[in-house]
Amino acid sequence: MALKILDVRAADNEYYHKDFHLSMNMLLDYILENYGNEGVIEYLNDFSKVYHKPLIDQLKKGNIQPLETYIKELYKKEKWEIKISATVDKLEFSINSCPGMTYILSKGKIPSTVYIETYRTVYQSICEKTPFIYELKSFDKSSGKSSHVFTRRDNR
Amino acid sequence: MISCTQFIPAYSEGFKYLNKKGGKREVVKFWETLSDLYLTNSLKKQVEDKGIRGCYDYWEKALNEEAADFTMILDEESETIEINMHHCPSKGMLNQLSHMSPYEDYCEHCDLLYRRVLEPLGFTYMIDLSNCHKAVCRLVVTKKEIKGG
Repeated sequence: MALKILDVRAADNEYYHKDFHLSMNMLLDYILENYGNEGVIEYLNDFSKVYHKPLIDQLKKGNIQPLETYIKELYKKEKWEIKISATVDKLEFSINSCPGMTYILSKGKIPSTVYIETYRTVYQSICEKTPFIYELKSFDKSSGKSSHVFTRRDNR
Repeated sequence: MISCTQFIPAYSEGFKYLNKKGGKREVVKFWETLSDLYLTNSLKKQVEDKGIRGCYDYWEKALNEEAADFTMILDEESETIEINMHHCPSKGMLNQLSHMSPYEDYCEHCDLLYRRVLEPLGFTYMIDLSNCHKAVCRLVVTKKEIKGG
């Protein structure tokens, strides 16, 4: 029987492995089960501050535009529609459902009860030492439909 | 939202978090849980249904979606599959993120997750991680010989 050989270069494919949403969900549930809600928040804070350091450093300079670029790119990579508007002092965006939660549900799995923290904790930690404040205006726990506002502290 | 394109740094930081809480043993416990939950209906089911071909089908999808740079060789006659990972997209991404460092034993999850599924199904699992710091590794899975058969 002949050998079957698959020889693939990185450039042959787009980086888009949606099953990672399932693994993320399992990681959240594992931390929740073993370390509670506080553990999930602690982990996401740790992650966000380390991973988003370049973005946080830009926001510390007082310009909200890098955040707008970041949000747009994030959802573009997920091939997901968002409504977004920004001024120099305020950025608002909303989604009709969460791409991660939608994928998890499509695979017959249940999004973690702390999935909301991948928005709330992550965006709060990005803003913590910057001139901006994040507010989660609404979040539907069944679909991830949500709206988000980032405001300059002086202008609240 | 943590995008699927951001998962690998979140995963690595998750290992660090668990290590901070309970040491390496806690990280390994999570890998065991993930293997049982995540691979049961994917890799395990495919190998149970199709034998070594199931490994090929599983990794063909996963590695293409992850935009890996690899060569995979399937020999159904000897029931062997070999993957030469020329550039692992996960470790490669972590190496590129100069503002953060990967969990020191990051690549070991690939040893545990798949070994835990494949060995009970009658396969030997060998992974060479000696060059994993360069995002390079080699994996060979082969059917165990049945002695006295």
